[in-house]
Amino acid sequence: MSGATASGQSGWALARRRFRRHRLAMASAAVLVILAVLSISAPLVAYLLDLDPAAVDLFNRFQGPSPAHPLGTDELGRDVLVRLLYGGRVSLLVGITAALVASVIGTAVGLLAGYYGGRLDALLMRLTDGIIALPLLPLLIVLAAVDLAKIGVPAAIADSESVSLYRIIIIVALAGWTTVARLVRGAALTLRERDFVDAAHGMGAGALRIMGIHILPNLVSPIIVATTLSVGNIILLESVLSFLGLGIQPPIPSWGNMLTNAQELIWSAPALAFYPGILIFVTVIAFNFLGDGLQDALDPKAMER
Amino acid sequence: MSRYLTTRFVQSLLVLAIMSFAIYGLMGLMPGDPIDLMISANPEITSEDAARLRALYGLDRPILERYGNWLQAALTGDFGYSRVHKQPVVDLLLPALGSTARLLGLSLLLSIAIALPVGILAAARPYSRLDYAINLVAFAGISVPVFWLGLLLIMLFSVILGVLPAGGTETPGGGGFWDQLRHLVLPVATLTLASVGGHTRYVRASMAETLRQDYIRTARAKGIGWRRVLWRHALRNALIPVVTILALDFGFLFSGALVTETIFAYPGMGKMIYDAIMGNDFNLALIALMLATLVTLVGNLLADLAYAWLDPRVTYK
Amino acid sequence: MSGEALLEVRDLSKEFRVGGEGLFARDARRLLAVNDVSFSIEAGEVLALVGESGSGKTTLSRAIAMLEPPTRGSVRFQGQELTGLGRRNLRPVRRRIQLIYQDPYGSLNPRLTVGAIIGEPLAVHGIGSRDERQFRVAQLIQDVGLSPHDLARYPHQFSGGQRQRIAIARALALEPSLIIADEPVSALDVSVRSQVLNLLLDLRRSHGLTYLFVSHDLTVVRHIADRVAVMYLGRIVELAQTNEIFNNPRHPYTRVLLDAVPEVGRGKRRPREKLAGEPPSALEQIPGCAFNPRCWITRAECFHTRPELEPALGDSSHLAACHLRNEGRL
Repeated sequence: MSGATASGQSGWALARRRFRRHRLAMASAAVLVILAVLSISAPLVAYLLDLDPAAVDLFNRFQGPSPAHPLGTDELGRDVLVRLLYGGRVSLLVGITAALVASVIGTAVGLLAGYYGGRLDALLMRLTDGIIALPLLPLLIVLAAVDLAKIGVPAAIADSESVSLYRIIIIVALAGWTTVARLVRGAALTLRERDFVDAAHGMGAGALRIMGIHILPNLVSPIIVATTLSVGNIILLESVLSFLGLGIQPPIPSWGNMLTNAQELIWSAPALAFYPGILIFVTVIAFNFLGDGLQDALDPKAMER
Repeated sequence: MSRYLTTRFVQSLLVLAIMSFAIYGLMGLMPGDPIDLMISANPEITSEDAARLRALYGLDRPILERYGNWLQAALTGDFGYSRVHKQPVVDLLLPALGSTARLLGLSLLLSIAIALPVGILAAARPYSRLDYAINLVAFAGISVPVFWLGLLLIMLFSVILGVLPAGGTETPGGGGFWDQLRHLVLPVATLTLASVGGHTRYVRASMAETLRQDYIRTARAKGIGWRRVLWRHALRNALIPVVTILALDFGFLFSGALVTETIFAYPGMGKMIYDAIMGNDFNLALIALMLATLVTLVGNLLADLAYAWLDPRVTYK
Repeated sequence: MSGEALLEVRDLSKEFRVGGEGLFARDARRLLAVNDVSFSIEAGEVLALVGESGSGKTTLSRAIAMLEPPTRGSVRFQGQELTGLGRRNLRPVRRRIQLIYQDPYGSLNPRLTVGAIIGEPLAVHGIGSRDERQFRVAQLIQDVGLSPHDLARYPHQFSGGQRQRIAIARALALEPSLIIADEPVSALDVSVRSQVLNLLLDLRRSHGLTYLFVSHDLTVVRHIADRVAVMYLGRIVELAQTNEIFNNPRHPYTRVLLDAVPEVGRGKRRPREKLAGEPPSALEQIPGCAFNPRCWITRAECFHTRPELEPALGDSSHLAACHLRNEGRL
């Protein structure tokens, strides 16, 4: 392991070099940056084009592309481009936030299982495998349909417009942490056997300190890879729940819920079914390529090419 | 072996029990309860009536007691009535299960039939252009939203080309075998395309791993032809992990089936669960969800068995 | 031997369960890695533990440090019994026993600066304020021959020898009485070995240290040790002053180890003995002397009675576990 690192080059620099060689991942990173910038600047675009994402104009439904509406209008006469950008904000925000939440859960589970090993490990991994094996989508649909008032959420919050955002983040995070947990657990199991962890035991360090200072910081690579890979899955999950009417609730636009009505409109306005889907697809595949590239860059063993 | 089997069986039962309680509890948290639905259907019910009705149906009892009663009834085969369909739940389940089995079975077969040769081809020449291209397409497969894929297929084959029906199981007023088959094409194609990418990647990874083993090199060194090594020596060993992953993937496949069935108005388990939840059909949703969980658990159990059967190194005591 | 020993090990055994992990683990086999080992170390002494890999020397050293709780037996350190102590009661003991590892690449956390690594034991035990700790760390790094400028750097920026010095500085931080060094120089280039060994010897004098020095390298052992214990299949088979071990071995296994080292075996006219076969697995029990399958001077009792570790004729400090220890056939 030591050849390159001992000569004074840090592991990160090496990883950066390896990542740059991964052209697909580089392109994916660029695509994601562009998508993110466009989504963030959605209000700016709306202002420049003098369009309101929520403005209903029933006299101008199903318009084709025009200078006023670059991608036309939808079934309520709203501008498709602006809604796509606003939808991107929501989808990316939900995807990344939920992936981070999932990453925290998964890291905690994987760290505990990998560090303590034995029965706790067996128990937690059975749980993880069990969740992976379940028919998740129907169960998530149930979770998404739960009446928040019945679990004691105050009505003011339960009825607010943005509650569907938080709810979907929690739900997909609950389903999405398993990838991170497995990867982190595997890496922690190996780290646990390293001499510096043993040395920490030998000096009397407690479990919290060992996990926090010696194991966790050395897990950064697998956590980054697993989190990146789960963003794709989580965006897919969010979009399908929103498509089914159980995720992000209108009038907040998301790429998933913009497709909800697309099926009925497919005969009259096929383009409406195309745009949000292609954006989901491009985003997810970009995150997957990015994760793949990071995995190759950060794991020396993966580069036996 | 038998002790291992028993352990796994008991574990699965335990998971099923936990899941049944969780699902039952979640159902109680759905918006509205049966009495609310009666009130909305009949505005003349007063709030006193509602309270009496709740007591009559035991809805004011603690959750554990209600669950116990339900479980007792369910274990004697009494699954209750569907509110929406006005039929015993059992009568609805069996046909739906059959439909889903047909959809899932066909898609899985097709997906494996494609993934096996393609994955092996990619693994045989790692890091070649072909491998690269296959990897790209497989990544596209795992990244595409299933529902959008379905919409695209409808757009292409039903709207633009007009050659295939966009939904249902047969043309109204009869149709026969070929008509039913035509209705199956798009749903099966959607589910196959959605799963074949992942399957190809499994096969490729497993095959590549196998080809790195020493005995493969030995076989090559002894002068056995590459094709023979690939198909005779490596394939069997590469298949072992693939079989398990396929079975473990069952839950994912079922999720895909739910979406596919919903889009194509295909009367399977997935669509039934979705409709039941959206329509507050508690009894039906409950049983259908449990059945789906049961089927997945059985799938997992079978995967373990298949693994033990295929891999001579594994001996379960 | 005068006064009370710093470390007193009595009938120590360590058993491992092999196989059978997980939630429903039941049938596991047992492996006796350390088998009824007794010895003691005087304050200020360097005791070397030698043997092939698999002889149990590393396990023994880790059992003494309570990193792998012993299965049976007693470990008394400065008069205090360590076996059976809970985590809390072990903490003060851990300050007085420190470890140095073989692989200087694996024993330092790559994500910490050298300063954080050396200062960690102080932080763990809450010794001194932040400033006091910094001062102490700067002192320590100079004690091992590096510069305080190195404190902000990361382990990967150092050579193997330098990294081992960092590990030594970390071990010194808590001013321990006993240092257990497990093959501390065997991963290093030959050219830097003697530097690190001399550093360890210097530190013994300046810091009043006692070493338990685990090694398979007899050249190194001869250089550093006062006494040597030879381990074979989990037992000590010979224990004596370093000179005695090298000039007058009483156990055939020791003889074999010596003959394997060219410059050590020199001067002996008899043909070199080489080991026949592999060491038997520690999983199987051999009746009689455990060395009998590989020994060339066996007689009948070697096959049914296990020899105890007993003083040799004429030198009560020279212990050997061999029926033929007094026959001068080595």
